[in-house]
Amino acid sequence: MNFHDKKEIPPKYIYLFMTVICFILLFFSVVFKNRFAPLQTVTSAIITPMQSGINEVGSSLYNRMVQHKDKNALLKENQELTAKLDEYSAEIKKYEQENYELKRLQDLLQLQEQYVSYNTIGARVIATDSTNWFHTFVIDKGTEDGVQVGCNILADGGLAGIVTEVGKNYAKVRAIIDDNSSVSATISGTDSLCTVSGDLSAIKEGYINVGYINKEVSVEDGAELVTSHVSNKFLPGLLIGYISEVQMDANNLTQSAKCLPVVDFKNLQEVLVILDLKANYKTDSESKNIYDSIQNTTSEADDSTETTASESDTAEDMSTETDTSEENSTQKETSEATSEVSTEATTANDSGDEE
Amino acid sequence: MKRSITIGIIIVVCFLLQSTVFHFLELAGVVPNLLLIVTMSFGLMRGRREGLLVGFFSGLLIDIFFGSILGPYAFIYMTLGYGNGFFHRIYYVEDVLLPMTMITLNDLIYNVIVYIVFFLMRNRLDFPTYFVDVILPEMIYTILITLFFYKILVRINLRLKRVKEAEQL
Repeated sequence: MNFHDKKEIPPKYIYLFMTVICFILLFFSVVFKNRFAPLQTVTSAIITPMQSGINEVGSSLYNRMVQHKDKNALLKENQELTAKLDEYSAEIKKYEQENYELKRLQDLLQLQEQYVSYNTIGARVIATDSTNWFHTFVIDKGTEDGVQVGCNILADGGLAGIVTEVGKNYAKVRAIIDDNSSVSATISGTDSLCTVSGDLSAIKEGYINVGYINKEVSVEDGAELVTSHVSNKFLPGLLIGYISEVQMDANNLTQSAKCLPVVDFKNLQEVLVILDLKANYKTDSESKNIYDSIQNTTSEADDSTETTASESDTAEDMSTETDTSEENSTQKETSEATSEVSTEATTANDSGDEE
Repeated sequence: MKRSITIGIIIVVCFLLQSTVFHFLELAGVVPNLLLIVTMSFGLMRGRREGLLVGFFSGLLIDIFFGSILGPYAFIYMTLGYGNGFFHRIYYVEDVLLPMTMITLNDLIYNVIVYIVFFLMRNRLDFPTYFVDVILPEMIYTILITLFFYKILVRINLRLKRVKEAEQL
């Protein structure tokens, strides 16, 4: 690329040539998907370590800045939280008793334990989309750590996104608030299905859209939205957010609503990757593959109340869950739980939140 | 050779900044478009050829990391770099108004194209909302950053020029 050669090709031709290259790239990447993986691997091998380095420095500076600025606010929050903690420990006592009773009744009914504990690993967000139009981010775990395309990503105890592309030491994640994202969901407590789709203009106001709710179903504000059993990409029962502003659509056949996601996408620093894929998800030993489990979904949905009930194992789990969920939702910046602890916490969260 | 290496480093550094640190400095939920500033600057300072090459590689980097397919961003950035090259004729070092006008236009065109290609095609017709929510904040933020960043790039360019001249003598 010597720009001052005597015999220069006119820029016009270079432009044409490069345009052709662009379109060839475009064509090939559409026709032969994943053929450009080597190119991406090479680039990311160079860029990703730098990204994680810079990001580490940046986030530590940012955290320090936030810590200094909000010291008073944190103190106040701490007071409030301590008060809340007392409140919750009383509540836990109540649940403990109920849980014990539940266990006893379950033993009586000999219900099958359908809860599958997922394998998870913690990961760090090292880069976020450099355009302002999309919500994708890159995490620092890749195929080496067992991450695959289609892995679900959790953060703050809720669903954050799905892996769309994976390299050796990185994975690209599409957040559920991305304009291209849509997730099949269930409103907890009902069996009705709906679709949660990200919307760029909606997320600027802090929510995502929920559509195609059956008009027969009456939904209350604040109802929990969890991933449904019928999705072939998202594992069932992951918390998405809370519903508000339900309204009838113009077609008078469906309802739509807004959903406040539980994940704080603005300050996403650590996430949890579920290594199990939905495609390999088995509800019980009888269903051999995804098709069986799809066929089973109707019966599953009927059993859902029992399932969720059996999910929370012991009272100890419950207490961890309450503690950490509180911590997660309020002190995201400061809480840096180790992956193990958060694994436990989030699985417990999922189970607990469904109730 | 020195020149292309320096420019390569500038592009990579800007991409890294844009995708990592600047997200901590978000204003109104947007980050400034540093790579567009680089593309615009080199287009203005060095003409069409370099503008389009810088644009192409900047865009390709975005495509590789954040695009689902390769090509679209590379093409948009390249075209903008090439277009800016036409204004190389009326460029002089001390001028501030020209780069400011150019970055405003560039960012507007860039975002409108992105909107048309990635959003309008999917039947998202509410352009005014997108304009107010995304395009306008990004334009303003990018213009603000350009005020400082452009100066640095001009200085780097002058240095490169001097090194080149010294080598030739």
